[in-house]
Amino acid sequence: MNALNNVSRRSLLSGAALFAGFAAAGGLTGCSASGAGGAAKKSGGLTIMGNPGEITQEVIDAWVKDHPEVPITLIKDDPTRLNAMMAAGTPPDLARSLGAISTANLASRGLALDLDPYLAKSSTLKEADLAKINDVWRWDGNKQGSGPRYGFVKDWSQDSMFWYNTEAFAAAGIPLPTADKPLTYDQLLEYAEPMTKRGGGKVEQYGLFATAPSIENLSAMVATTNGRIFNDDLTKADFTSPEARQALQWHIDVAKKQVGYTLVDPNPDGWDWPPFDAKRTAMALAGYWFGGMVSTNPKTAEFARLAPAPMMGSKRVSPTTSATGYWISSKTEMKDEAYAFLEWYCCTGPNAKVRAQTGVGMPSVTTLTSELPQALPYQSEAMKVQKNEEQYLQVLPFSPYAQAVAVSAAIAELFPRAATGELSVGQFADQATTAVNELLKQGMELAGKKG
Amino acid sequence: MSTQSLAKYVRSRNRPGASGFRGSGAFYAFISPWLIGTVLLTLFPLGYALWISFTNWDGIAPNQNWIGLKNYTDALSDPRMWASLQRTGLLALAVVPVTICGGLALALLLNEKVHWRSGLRMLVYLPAIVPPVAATLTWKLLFDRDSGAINGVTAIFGADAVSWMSGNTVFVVLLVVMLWGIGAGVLINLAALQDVPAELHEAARLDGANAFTAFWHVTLPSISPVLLFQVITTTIGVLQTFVPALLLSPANGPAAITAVPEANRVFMVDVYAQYFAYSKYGYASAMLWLFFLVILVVTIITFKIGGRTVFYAVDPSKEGKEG
Repeated sequence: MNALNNVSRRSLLSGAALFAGFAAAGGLTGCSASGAGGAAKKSGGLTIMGNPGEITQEVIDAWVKDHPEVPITLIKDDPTRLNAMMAAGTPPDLARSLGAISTANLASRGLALDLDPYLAKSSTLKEADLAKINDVWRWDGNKQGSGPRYGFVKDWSQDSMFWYNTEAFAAAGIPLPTADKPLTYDQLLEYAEPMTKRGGGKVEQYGLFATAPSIENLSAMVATTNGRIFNDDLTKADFTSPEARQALQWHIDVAKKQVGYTLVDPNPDGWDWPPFDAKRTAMALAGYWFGGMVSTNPKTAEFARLAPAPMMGSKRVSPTTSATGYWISSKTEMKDEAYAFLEWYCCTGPNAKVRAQTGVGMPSVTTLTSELPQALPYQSEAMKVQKNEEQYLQVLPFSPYAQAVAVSAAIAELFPRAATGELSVGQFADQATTAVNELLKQGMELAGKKG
Repeated sequence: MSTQSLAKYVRSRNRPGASGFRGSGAFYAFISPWLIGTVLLTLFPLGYALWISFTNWDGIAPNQNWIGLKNYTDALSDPRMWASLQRTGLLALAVVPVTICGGLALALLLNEKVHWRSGLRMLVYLPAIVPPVAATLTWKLLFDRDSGAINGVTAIFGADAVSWMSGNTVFVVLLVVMLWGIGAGVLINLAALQDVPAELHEAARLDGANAFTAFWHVTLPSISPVLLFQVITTTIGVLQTFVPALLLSPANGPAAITAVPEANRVFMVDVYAQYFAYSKYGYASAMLWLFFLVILVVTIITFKIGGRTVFYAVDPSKEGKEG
């Protein structure tokens, strides 16, 4: 009797059902992982979390043409999903982050790959070619700006600069900002009032750009007074200093005077370009990169101009609070391929050159600076302002013990009550300090560091 | 073989124990897809979330420090959590009665023989099949202060534009979004109404009952189990409101969660913020377990009250007993 004859109908059915069960459950689990943040990984390919507007299909096709053995799966850039993927232990191979506020956190937790060994043996990129801004992606264990590199800048800007509508300024009889003399924050508030136009309860045009008391914005304002939010070892934050309170007060004043979109009168578009382009705001808070958006509308190109970063104190500081770039997960199984893409996309590939030519930001490598556009009046003037502004470039310290989005959320949560007067600026500062320090304390505990 | 002896035979054949796993093996093998799915996709995540709720894990750190009940005590003493719970309760108190009563009223109207009845039924049900994301974003556009149609209509009557999407008025927008899908309940009620035996109404009419009395003493008891089902499912659904509240936030991307106006910070929005804005995975998991207990208590209370008011044509407690 062969073995097959020993298999009864019942046991055959049982076995089949059991197999089907495992298969179905496995399939479901697979679906779940993908749906809950994990990405279905192509065999031998890279999973990249990025902006589909930046890493377009054209960019992917150009890469795959030269590297057919390394296909790309692109996941839309989403910090929430990135957190979920990291929590699940399945991070993407590369991810897009703001180097200025992410490097310390990513590097100190061992999430990002040290790029130095790869850069050292690269035949297409020399360290000397990297723009100085790439130091934002360095972390030596205590401070940003030195030590190993953990990412490259895709392109960069000085993010406290702003764009303004020359027509709106002229209509309100306000002198245009100049390249070498920045406005103060108080002047911005003063100028925004006559440029704000209302009718029937509706706002036709806001004078100011959209504001939010994020940690980046507050740090940038305080830096112009020679102050800082975080202490020297980045373990504590303090919003109760006179200069920090002044920055908080300015945001409250904007909300009370209703001269721009705020957290209590939110921008329905979520970011500054759509209302600025439609002349619904007279200013837009953005650095040089915004010129890339301006180039998409010839009418806007006629009235849009770039201005230096405003000042709250007497020290000129024009920080970069983003330095957007890409980093490689330390967990990736494709370190060489991931580095090759990182270098190709950020620094040496054809798309890096195209990005420079369209002015969507200052390039990551110095060799591409000559490619920046200067044909149109707004482009040449923006270049002039940008060149002058670079001497005031500064990277603001940010703690490795919390994510910037968490710190900003803690402040944002208190803001509506401060804007309505329910909280005094002193109470706002005290409560923000307590909330943020609690986050930092939690981060330090998890890092095994005593506060 | 009689029915009773057949039943005994089947029970003895399938009773586990005497014949061991062999008798029930096929049964378990066939239900294994669901069993494995439930263990892997429900019980394991639930257990993992319970474990996380006793740690201070932030979702990224390699170590998870055990902190006992601290997350639970912190949550119970957190005024923000109580505030979001209160808002969620308020939302349920507003939405559930209107959904149930409104759904029933509309079903009664659509149960009458009127012209265009099919068209009207379709119109009422249509919003229920629009994906919630699309519906919420559409309402968000309609309520926009500067370019929304709602303010456009009120402007015709000389009213000033209202900032619907900020302050407490955004809660009104949330209510509208939640109540817009009332048609789903209407459909269930309509099916229940058509199941009410015509002879009961006939008898009531012969006894001299007017329309209201017939509705109160015949229709309502007949459809009460369906109404109880709707009360429970709607209550649980409303308590778990998340997507509309989040989508009515003015910001996009990661800032969306932090920009949700306070009036719309319902419990699940708060939980989501704790997870993904503050990276407090332990604390958020504790909040979810506490919320599970809240929903459980609310459901038990609803069942207790329903048990006294719901009429079953066949008494489930006596069904199967030989009289």
